[in-house]
Amino acid sequence: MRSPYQDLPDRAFWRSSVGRDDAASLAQLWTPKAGITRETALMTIGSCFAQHLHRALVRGGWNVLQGEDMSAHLPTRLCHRYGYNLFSGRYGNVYTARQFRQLIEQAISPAPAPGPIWEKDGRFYDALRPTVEPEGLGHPDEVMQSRREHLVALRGVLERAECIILTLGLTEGWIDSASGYALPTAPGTVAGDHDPARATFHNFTQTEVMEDLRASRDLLRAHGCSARFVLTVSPVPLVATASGDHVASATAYSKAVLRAACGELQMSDPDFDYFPAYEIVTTTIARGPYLDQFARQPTDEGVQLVLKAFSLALGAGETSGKGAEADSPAIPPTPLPTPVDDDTICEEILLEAFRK
Amino acid sequence: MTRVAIIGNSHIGAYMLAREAIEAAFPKVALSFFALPRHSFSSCRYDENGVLIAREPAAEGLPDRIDLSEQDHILLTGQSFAISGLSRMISDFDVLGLAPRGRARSVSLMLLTEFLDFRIERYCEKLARFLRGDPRCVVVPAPFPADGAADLPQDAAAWLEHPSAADLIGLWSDTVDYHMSGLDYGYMPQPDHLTAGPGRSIGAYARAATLAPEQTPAAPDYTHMNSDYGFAHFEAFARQWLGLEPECRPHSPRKEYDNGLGPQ
Repeated sequence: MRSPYQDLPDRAFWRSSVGRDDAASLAQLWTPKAGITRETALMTIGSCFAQHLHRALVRGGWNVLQGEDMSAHLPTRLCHRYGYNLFSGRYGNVYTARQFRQLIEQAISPAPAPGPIWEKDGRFYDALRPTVEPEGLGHPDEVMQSRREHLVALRGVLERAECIILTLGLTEGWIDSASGYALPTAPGTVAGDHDPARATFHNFTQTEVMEDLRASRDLLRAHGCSARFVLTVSPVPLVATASGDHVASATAYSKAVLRAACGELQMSDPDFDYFPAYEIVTTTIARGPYLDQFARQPTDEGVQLVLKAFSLALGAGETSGKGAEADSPAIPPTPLPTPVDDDTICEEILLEAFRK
Repeated sequence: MTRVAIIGNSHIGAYMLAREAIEAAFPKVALSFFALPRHSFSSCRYDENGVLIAREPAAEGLPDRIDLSEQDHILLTGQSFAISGLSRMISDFDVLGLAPRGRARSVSLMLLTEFLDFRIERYCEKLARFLRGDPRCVVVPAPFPADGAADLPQDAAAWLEHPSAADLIGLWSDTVDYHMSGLDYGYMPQPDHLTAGPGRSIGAYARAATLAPEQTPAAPDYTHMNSDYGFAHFEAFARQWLGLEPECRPHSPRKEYDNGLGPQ
């Protein structure tokens, strides 16, 4: 008698593959669709967790593209405070697939529709990336100038990227009624004022997430950009929900939708792959979970394990700085400091502050 | 006698050149000089007896140590206060809110402000450790480049041609003032009567303006000042910090003796 399971590898079986963090087990967590080497030009983008990935990849010696690089001019702390060198571009946190799509649209459009600008105490903020200027700018024209320069730089990164590592964080978001743009945070959180007539809540469905990701890919292809995608889901739960549900249920929905969208794209579309950072950090798959005392932020150990699994699955060995740097001249020579959770810049945290 | 040590980097040359004039005008002042090798604080050791000693050979003709315990006042000259950081930022970027200069990238004025604050605070922390916060010490920034300094590298004094030079230099000066006010040292910014405008010294004070042809370096020197400047600056220092007025005014303090203290 034959069973369809009898010839499957160890990784197909829970007992033989789960709860281990040795190199062989970690290497089995992901079977990449396409090769990525240390020379592959990577673009990082996404939610808070993407900042962890970006730093870990840079430190690990991967060829991470760095648009709007300020590392030669500013100390790391100041770079990060002003949104530089957190990701491959100064786009701030991109939580939803819709944000990602509209960012691609803006970057490749010769005349993108202007985004909303928020005002607070006489200072002006780019509502599509409100934290990159923590004190705001002096005039709306400055916001528009800054955004124009950002989009030019982003276009350059997109054209050079061979692989986009996109970390999806949320399905909940706010849509600016006038422009139709998805916002990274609700008006009134960083700046601006909440007016139900000017920004509406939306909880994206799996279908919408997939449509946005496919549309993003199509836009890039139409523009001659050939990057493929490695999708991840942020293990960081929602800090607050506007859905009416309990935040735990809302988080479960959000992560389930994103995970399902990633899985379906991975199965059905050769341009999309999925890397299980979410599972590594939040489950027992690799002796986790690796979350801080508030069960919210991934620990440094968890982030390192994610990168280790990423490297091992790609046959790049266990990531370590020195050998890797020799292979990757594009890596900035200045080592970045060990990431600490407090350094991760996250508008979501502000929601919590507003509750106090 | 009031004993004054003038220490620092190559900028002490202006005071050395004016030494005779200074001592004639201030007969109760005795001057001593000491140049830090490579302009670096770490190039010297300050021992427990108050002697500042060069860790490496001093330039020919220059002392390799100075006993600061014997001094009544210490004038620490030529300090940059990270002004090169300001210059590099405005050389590489436009500043949002200031007149554009066609750079491909911009930074916000707030970022520039925080950047200067960071750099200058760090600089002042180093200053505080050097000479251990000795209240006899008055710190003087390096003179601004002189008018006519057209050949300076763009990243050396990028504010010179900037339409918002006054704002930029004002920002830098205010930040230096703020951080120096927290130290035990005195601080003496460049007096207005020695400047030709924001961030620039009067052209006639440039070393380039007075060097004999055979002494003129390949690149005219608009960053170091001559003996006229040395005298005028010391006079301002003496009035403000020593309470002394010049007893006479030399006919021509401008004498250039090339003591090997030119650009190093």
